[in-house]
Amino acid sequence: MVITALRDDEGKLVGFAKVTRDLSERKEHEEQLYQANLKLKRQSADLQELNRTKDEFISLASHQLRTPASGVKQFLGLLLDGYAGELTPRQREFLQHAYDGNERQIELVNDLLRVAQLDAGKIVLKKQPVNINNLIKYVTREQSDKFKDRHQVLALELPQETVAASVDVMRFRTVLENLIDNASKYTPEGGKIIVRLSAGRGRVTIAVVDTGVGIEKESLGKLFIRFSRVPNYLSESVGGSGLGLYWAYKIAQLHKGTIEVASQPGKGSTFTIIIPQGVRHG
Amino acid sequence: MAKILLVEDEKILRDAYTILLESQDGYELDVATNGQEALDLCANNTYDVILLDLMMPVLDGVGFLEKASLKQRSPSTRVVIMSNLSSGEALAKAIELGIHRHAVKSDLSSAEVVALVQEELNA
Repeated sequence: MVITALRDDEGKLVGFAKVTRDLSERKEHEEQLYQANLKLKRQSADLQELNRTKDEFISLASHQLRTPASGVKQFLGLLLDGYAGELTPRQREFLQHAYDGNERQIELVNDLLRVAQLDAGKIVLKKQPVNINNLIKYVTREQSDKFKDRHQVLALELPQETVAASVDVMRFRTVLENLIDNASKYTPEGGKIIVRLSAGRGRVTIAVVDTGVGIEKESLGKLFIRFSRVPNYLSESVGGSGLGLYWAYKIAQLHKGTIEVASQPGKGSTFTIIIPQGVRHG
Repeated sequence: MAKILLVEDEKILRDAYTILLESQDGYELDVATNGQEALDLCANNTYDVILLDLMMPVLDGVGFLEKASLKQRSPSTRVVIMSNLSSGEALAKAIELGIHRHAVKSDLSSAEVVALVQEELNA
C-alpha cells in the first residue's frame, strides 16, 4: 500500500491518494508452494527411512538364511566324507549335487548381504599401495582350476615393470574375480580369455577380454544394475545372482574409477576396469 | 586329549559339529547351548579351544566373553568365534575382548572346521 500526499500549485496539502495492491492471491500461491515443498521433504525422508529399513531387512534375512544353509552344508559334508558309512557311487553323485546346490544358495545369500551393505553405504574402502601385477597373478592362479575344467586358455598380458595402485585389496580382488569368472562362464569350452594390464597418465587399466557369446547392444546398458541377467544361450546353465557386476561397478566407483564394456555378439566381450593410480608409479 | 568346548544355540549346527568333533581322535568335547551354560562349564573345566557362537539366547557370545574373563583365568585357551555374521558390532566387541580368530560358519566345510580346530590346538 502506498500513500501519496496531494498538493495544489501553491504546495498546499489538499488530500491523499492511496494505492493498494491485492497481495492475497500471491500469498495464497506462496503458501501452496510452501506446503507442497514440505510434503516433498517428508516423502523424501520417508523413502530414505524405507530404504534404510530395506537394507537392514536384507542384512537380517541374509544372516538368518545362513544358519539352515550351514546346517545342510555340514550334514551333506559329513555324508560325503564318509562319517555315516561308505557311499555307493550313485549316492555320492546325488549328495554332491545337493551339496553344490546348497553352496550356490550360500553364495547368493553372501551376494545379497554384500550388496545390502553397499547400498546402505556401509562399505568403507581400506586402500593401500598394491602391486597390481601380483594381484592379477594371484587371482588368476586361484581360478586356474576352473579354466582347466572348461579347457579354456587364460593368458596374462602384463607389462615388464610393476604397476602399483592404491586399492582396497579385499574388495578390488573380488572385482577381478568377478570379471574373470564371468569371462569364463560366458565363453564356451575351449575358448580364450586374456587379462591385460596397463598404466599411464595416472590411471591403471585392466582389460578382461573373452571370446564368448558376447552381449547384444540393447543389453549393454542393463549390465551393471542389480539382478540383471542378460539372456543368451549360455545363461540357462550359468548360475549366479545377477549382483556380481553391480557390486563390481560400485566398487570401481568407490575407487573413483569405472568399468567399461565393449562387445560383439558371437565374438566376445571386453570388460575394462579403469581406476586412478593413487600412488607414485614404482 | 584336547578339551574342546562347543557353544552353539542352533540344534542342527550343534548336532553336526558334535558328530564331527566327537569322531576325531584325541578330542574330548563338551557342548553348551548358550553363553550361560558355557560359563557354568568353564567354572569347572579348562578348555584348549572354545568354538563360540555370537547370537544366542540367555547369554550371548559377547556376554560370555565379558563374564568368563578368559584372558585372566585361562590365558592359554584359544577362542574362535563361529558366527554367521560377517560384520557388525557384536563381532567388533568380541575382537576387542580378545578372541584368536573368527570364521563364518557358512563358509566352512566339515573338513575345514576340523582343520581350524587343529590349527588352534597347535598354536
